Amino acid sequence: MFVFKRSIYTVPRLTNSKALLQNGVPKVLSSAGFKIVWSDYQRYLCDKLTLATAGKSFESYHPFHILLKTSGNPLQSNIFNLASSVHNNHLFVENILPSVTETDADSSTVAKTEPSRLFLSRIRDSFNGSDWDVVKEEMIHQAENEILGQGWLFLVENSEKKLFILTCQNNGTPYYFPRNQSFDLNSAISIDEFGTLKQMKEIMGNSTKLNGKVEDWTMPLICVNLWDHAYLHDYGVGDRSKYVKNVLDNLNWSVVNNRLFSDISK
Amino acid sequence: MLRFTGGHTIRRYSTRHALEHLKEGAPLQGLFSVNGLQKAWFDRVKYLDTMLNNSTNEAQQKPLETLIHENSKSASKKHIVNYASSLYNLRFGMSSLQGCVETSPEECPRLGPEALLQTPDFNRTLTNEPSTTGNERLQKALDSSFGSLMEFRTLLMNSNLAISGDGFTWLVARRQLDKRTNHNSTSNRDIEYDKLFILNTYNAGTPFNFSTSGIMNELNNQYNNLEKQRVKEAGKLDDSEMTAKHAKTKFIYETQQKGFSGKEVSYIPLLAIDASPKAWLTDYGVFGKQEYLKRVWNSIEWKIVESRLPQRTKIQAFSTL
Amino acid sequence: MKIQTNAVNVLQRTSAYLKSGLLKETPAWYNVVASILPSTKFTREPRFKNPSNGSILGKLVDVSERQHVNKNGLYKTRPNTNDKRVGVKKLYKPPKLTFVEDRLRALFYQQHPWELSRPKILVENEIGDENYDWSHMLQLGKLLDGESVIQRTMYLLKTKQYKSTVEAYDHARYEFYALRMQEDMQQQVALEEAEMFGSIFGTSAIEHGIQKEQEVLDVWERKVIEETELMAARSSNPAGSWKDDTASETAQDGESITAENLHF
Repeated sequence: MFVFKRSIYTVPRLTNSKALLQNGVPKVLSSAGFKIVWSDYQRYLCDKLTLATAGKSFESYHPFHILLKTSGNPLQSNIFNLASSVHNNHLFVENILPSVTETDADSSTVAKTEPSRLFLSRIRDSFNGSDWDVVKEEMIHQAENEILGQGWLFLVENSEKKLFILTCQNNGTPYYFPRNQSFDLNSAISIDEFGTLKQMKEIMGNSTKLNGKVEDWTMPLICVNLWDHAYLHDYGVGDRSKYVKNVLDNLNWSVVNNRLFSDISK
Repeated sequence: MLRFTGGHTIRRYSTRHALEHLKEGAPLQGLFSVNGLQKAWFDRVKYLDTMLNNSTNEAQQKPLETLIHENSKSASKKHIVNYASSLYNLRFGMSSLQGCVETSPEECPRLGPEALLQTPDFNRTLTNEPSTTGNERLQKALDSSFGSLMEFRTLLMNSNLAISGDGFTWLVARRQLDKRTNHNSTSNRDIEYDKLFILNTYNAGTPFNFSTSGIMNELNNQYNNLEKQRVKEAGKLDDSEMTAKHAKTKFIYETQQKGFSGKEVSYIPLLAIDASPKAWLTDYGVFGKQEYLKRVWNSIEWKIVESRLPQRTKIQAFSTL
Repeated sequence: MKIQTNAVNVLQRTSAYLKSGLLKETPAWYNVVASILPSTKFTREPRFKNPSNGSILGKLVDVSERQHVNKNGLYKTRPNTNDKRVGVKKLYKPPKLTFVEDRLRALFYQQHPWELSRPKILVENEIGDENYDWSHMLQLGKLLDGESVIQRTMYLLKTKQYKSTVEAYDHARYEFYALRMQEDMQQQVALEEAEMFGSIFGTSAIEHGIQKEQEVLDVWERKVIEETELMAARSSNPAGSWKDDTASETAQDGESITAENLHF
């Protein structure tokens, strides 16, 4: 996923990067907007991560492994933030890139992709029979409601193969629930949220006592970048919901379908 | 460039939150271009104001501070508080930024990845010192609280630079609350502070601790009561053992909380610096936060900051803390 | 003893063996040694200058340069034994290499001993391949440490931005401090931010300590209550409590305490 050259993290090369930088992502981002969120922001994160890890024990780890390894250590939050957003941003760009038919990559004909039947049935199972459009609306609503500042919006699949919507503040990660960062403690929280936090704390406390690890097998399917870097240039200050809608309407389904767990052995 | 038409709600720039020195369609000299200021200030104020009006009917009659103060303990009203305090923070931050004489950020070349490797400015020659603008009282206060103006600037800039998401870095004056006086009614002249501090708030957090202090204890008590009820209904555990356990955890919890809030103090904000990418992304690009902060420092109007500074208390007992 | 040249001829001999079929496979070192041949020069040459700093280790006295007359009124035309005996030992010994960088390193780590305690990877990638530009202190792919200060000092001296080493070193040092401050702040604020957004970390070392202490205290508390009850039962001597003479009462108390002490 990431190319290494002597412990320096570099922005991964995309298959049709030339066309992308010229035209942007059709119907989602302009070329300048795409340049900010991918060429600049990803480069920024990679460079910062290199500066934070070079010459130390995390030097040659993948960002994904760094985020898992640092997630439990409060003193490494800085490295965690960088690794987590490097990873998330790549997930995001992967699932908004238009899928190009491989025969003519230069002319970049966008192949229309559709959610797979398996995905749609999973959605119906997980959201009490609601179809994808309703879930999409709910995702847009949650992004608007929950994330006041910067953050990420995910559709994730848990170990029971159920799908649900997850919002992460700032640099939260979907892979490890104590670091989801789904709550904003800067403003008042409800008693339910407090209870959840407290229970999470108890689970964590027990896990260290038993010397075990907290297990979380959540996998992200759809990732939307809610940072200003992604939408501010093209959509302006108040129109983030429109941006989220555009992203969800123009997903690259061949990528998302592949991320969904399908039990081939059966 | 994409263009979007239709469904665009027309938002007016509310005069209620307007600042005299900021004009729509004009740049803020040396800090924001026209477009940059539009995104960093006007669009945000419009958006937040609309959202605030949508979430409460009282937004027009009450000042922002009152809205924050009244609703800050209720989770169901958290949107009101979020929008009100975002507006308050934004306005507070902008009010002391008067621009500087540097060339407009538009005309400077856009900073690239090499900007990350630059050493932060540590020269011992400072620009825009409060003492040179005739604000001796403030300079003295800063010197005695932070050691020197250099240290103050380094701390202020570094604190802001380190914020990765949205937030503000505040310069606040700490005030020991006398139990006899009511902190709401005292006039500005009677207020005394003992030391200045730098503090970060994230997203819509405010430096007004009095409105939220004790809220965690309250939640904890509520949660424990609920838990007790649940246990009672299940009829499993011995009740007395449960209460003893809770009393102990409660004690530990409250002591922890006290460690944060300390004695009865409140904080008076003097200066706020916006860390949100909305403020700097348009003009300075992804790699330009450090440059933005440098210019923010040069743009600070110390006169306004000093006018917010209360009298220093004669009692210096806590100044060492 | 005759000079041993066998070892030097290893390439020739191996080639011959290979040609004749005595050796079936080419040894792994063969190509390497072929490209870098072992030296066949066995004479040691005197070194008059230290290659690291150019300081002069010894000098032959050239008598022809001596133009002055000695006390007998004669000119010296040939060197005597004393003149010939230049510190010969020194000339053939490998000279001690000294660099300014080493002195700076020693100074830096003497002034900042805790810098040595920071973890770092000792495995090197490829030496001399780094290509760092020391016009700024931070380098992509290099840890910020004492070495950065030294390299930056050397850069400042080389580009003549400072004349004295001390000034250049101080400049580099202050840059280093500024960056370290930034780094520390980043770490602190990142932690604060993470906590404000609902991150949960496992129990910290202090919390763990308190928990362990509490476990012991709980046991102790139970024991103490039992013991106190026992003590109260013992000391509430029915005879003692009826007495109204205070003196005897204190005596009674004293007695019971000593009794308790014995008991413990």
